[in-house]
Amino acid sequence: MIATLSAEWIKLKRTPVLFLIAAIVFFCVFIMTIGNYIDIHPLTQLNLNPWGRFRNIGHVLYTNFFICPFAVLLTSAFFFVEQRANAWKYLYTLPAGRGKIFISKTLTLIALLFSTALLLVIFSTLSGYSLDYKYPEMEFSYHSPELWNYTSKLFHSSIAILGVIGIQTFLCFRFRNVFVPLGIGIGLFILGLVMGTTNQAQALYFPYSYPLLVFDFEMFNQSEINIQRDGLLSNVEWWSLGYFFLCSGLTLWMETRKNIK
Amino acid sequence: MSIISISNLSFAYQKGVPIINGLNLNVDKGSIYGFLGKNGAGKSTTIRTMLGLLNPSNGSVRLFDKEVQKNRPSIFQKIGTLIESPSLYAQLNAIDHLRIGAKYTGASSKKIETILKQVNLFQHRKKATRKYSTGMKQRLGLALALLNDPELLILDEPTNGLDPTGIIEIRNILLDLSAAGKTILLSSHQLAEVERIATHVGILNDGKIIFEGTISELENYKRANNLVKIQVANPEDVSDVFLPYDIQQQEGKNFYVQLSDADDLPKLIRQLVERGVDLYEVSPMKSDLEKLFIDITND
Repeated sequence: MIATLSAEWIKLKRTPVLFLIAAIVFFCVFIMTIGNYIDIHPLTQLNLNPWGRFRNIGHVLYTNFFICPFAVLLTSAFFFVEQRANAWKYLYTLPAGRGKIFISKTLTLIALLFSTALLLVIFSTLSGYSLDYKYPEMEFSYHSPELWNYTSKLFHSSIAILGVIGIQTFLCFRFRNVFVPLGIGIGLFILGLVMGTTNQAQALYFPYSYPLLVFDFEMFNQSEINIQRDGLLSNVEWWSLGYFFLCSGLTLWMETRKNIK
Repeated sequence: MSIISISNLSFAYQKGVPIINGLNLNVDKGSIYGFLGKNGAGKSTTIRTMLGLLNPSNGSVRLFDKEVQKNRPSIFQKIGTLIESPSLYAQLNAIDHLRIGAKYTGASSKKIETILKQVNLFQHRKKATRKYSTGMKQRLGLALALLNDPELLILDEPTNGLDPTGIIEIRNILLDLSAAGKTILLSSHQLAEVERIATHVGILNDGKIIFEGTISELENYKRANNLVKIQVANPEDVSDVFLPYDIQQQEGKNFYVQLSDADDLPKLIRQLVERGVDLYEVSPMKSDLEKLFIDITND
């Protein structure tokens, strides 16, 4: 399995997948840095840890608005690497077997999602220290960067998007092209955004709304949606995991029986 | 011993429209099997079914005496494939491709350099494959197929789109592999090419094998329906002798006679000799495989 996983990483060289990850990380960190650079005063209060507020703007944007289209684009771009090379017929005549190839692809996709979160933690921290170099009064270097807190938030956001990853993976295998899953995914993202921001009770069962529901940023009224955030994971994250495993299982079942034309 | 044994295989994309219909095929160990057929005859579909990419509606495919559908990983460990155009990632170079192949097959990455030299791509190993010519892509596809040192190579139209130099290169590689004991199944519609390297031939028409045997058996098959050139001193003396026979053409003193049975030839010669005709030449028109192929598939 490790060998097939490393094969997946080699294939990602010079692909839009890596560009997409770099772009989302750069954009979020850029928004954090510029947003705080422009509005500097709230960060310069004495004895107040600036890291939470510094990262908050980037995290709100990432979780509420970016992560869902990012997941849709990431999944399409990831499977497009195989589709463009017309590689399924080659891959499925290798000793690795269809199941192993599917699992290694799914694991790689999840690793890419969590790597994005990790890169956000690393580069937001570096960006904070860079701001501190120019404006020592911000006191970034005097306070703990709260790495665990931010990592934990990104972890929950990433779990909440796994349902979308599962559905998009199914669509990519079902349609074997880039445009249909992308079109459906973007359409469902807009629907999810509408449902999540207009207090629709059904949003709890709609994975494309989950990133909006996993945290309460007090931006939208969500009183009608039965969200339970106590416990290790919120009920939204459990639903997301359920969708992910259901769709992944269905895709694997379909793929091992499919005729490869 | 048959490395590939297919019996009564059928496959249809749509119900009632079979692409392969009760196909039987056997490939012996160490042979180069030329799998011939017109475009649309079902060659690629047969190969895909053989490799488990398509699920047959009926029949069985056994490779190395094992059912393909139930033993894919262990069977694929001994097989190298090139199905139509090679599956290449445009942004990667040859070394990357072979590293990926080595990861999937468990082959040693130390072999990469040797194989690149074998297919004459070593000097282009660091170039992205989007910059490769068709011939270079085919050779890289072949390199990927050879990576795990397979006992059996299944190549679907490996010389497709190649110029004569590229075809010669691939042919020489295949002959070397055959000399090293590999079994090769080679599908093609380039019949002259198959004739040069194949030891055995299977001809597919409308999803069925209509001929299977060695190259010489195929030629014998044709000889049974042979066209004979007969040159005589005086054509006017013999026209009535030829009456029972099918004269395809007459050019001066040369008669081209289609014989329906191989035994007709000595009978005809005897008749001419008894008539006192001076015979200058009697020669069977040995056709190339392409002509045989057209004859057979048009029946």
